[in-house]
Amino acid sequence: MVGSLYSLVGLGIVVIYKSTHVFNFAQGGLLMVGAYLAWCFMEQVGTPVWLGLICGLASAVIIGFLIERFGMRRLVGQPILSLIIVTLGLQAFIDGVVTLFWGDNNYLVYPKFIPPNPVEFLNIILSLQHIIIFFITMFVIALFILFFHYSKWGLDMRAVAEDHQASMCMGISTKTVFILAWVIATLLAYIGGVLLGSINGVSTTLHHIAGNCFPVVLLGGLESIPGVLIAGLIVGVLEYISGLYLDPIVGASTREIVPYIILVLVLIIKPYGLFGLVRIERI
Amino acid sequence: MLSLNNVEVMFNKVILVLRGVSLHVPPHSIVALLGANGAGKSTTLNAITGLIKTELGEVTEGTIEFEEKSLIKMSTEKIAQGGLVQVMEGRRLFAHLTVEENLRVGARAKREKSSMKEDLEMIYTYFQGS
Repeated sequence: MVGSLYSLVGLGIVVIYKSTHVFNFAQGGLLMVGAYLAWCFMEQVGTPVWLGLICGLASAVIIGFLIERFGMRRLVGQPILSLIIVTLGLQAFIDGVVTLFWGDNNYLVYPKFIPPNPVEFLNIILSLQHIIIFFITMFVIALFILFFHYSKWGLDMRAVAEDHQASMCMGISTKTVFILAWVIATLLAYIGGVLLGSINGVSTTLHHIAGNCFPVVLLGGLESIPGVLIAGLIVGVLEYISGLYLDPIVGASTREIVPYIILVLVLIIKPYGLFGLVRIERI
Repeated sequence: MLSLNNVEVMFNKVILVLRGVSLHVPPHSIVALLGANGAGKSTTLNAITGLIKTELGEVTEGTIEFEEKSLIKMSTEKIAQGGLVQVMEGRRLFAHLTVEENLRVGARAKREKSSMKEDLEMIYTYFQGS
């Protein structure tokens, strides 16, 4: 389940990178603010759960649009270090805004819209909540893949990901594609934030979970959608296994270190990640 | 009719790369622009289609008009949708898209609303047996 959430959130990073060549270090912040917005509508405003989730979704769309329109668009073509600093700054800005509105010592809880009951399957006790979250995640990812591969907008996004200038010469609006990329990434982060918040509660530590998505994205390949899906599951399993078997031996938590160790080992052999696209540059 | 009059292009507001370029392409004609390496042929084409903006270039003097519309402030994609398409040098294919997807992307700039399916069939007849 955790691996599938890593894939979902990491997918947002890949979508933005493929289209705009910007590595979004603020994906964790978007995840966190999405979780808070959903809680705000459901608990503070008092809307029904379904309406609160929809309002949160709409807010995520607006946030993604605003970030691209008034922030990232101005940085197209700028040095990569500038882009990295801006997304790091955006993460810090989001942290500040969340702390300003909701404080940083709160642990907020959603109304129970996903049943937490345990279920038994083949003599194994499973959490129904985790199963539902897994299937929701897979459904959203499948929906995105269908959109990306079979819709006109998806084709435009893939063309822009290949070659900005050639796409523009073909009449594709790169500005629209950039907006779409950021909106989709924010939506994916929102969904991930809501699902994570439904398990762990909503707090300012949520964005740290997105930090675990960075090895997922790099392991799978920065421009590979199948890669991030598989890598998310790999990292999720590795975290679970290391927590179960290595923690007692080491005497400390190895869950967050093991993915990075595996990432380094893989990158030594495959520098572009497991499924990354090898770019050949003709001089 | 494509018409350039006394066009001047600068990069980064400092480097002057074109000065006093004039060019006229009447309808239904082919015009060849010849020049030595670095003379400014590609820059002229990029200025017409707006691609110099992606390289921090701008047209600082003169006019560029196509069908009596000025192209200087238009985006590249709007110029392409208006019927003026630049075929870029080198194999600027979309390498990770399929052949059909490459053709579909190429059809984005079509102004006539004819069926894409018919156009694809026509293209495929060029390569019958392949």
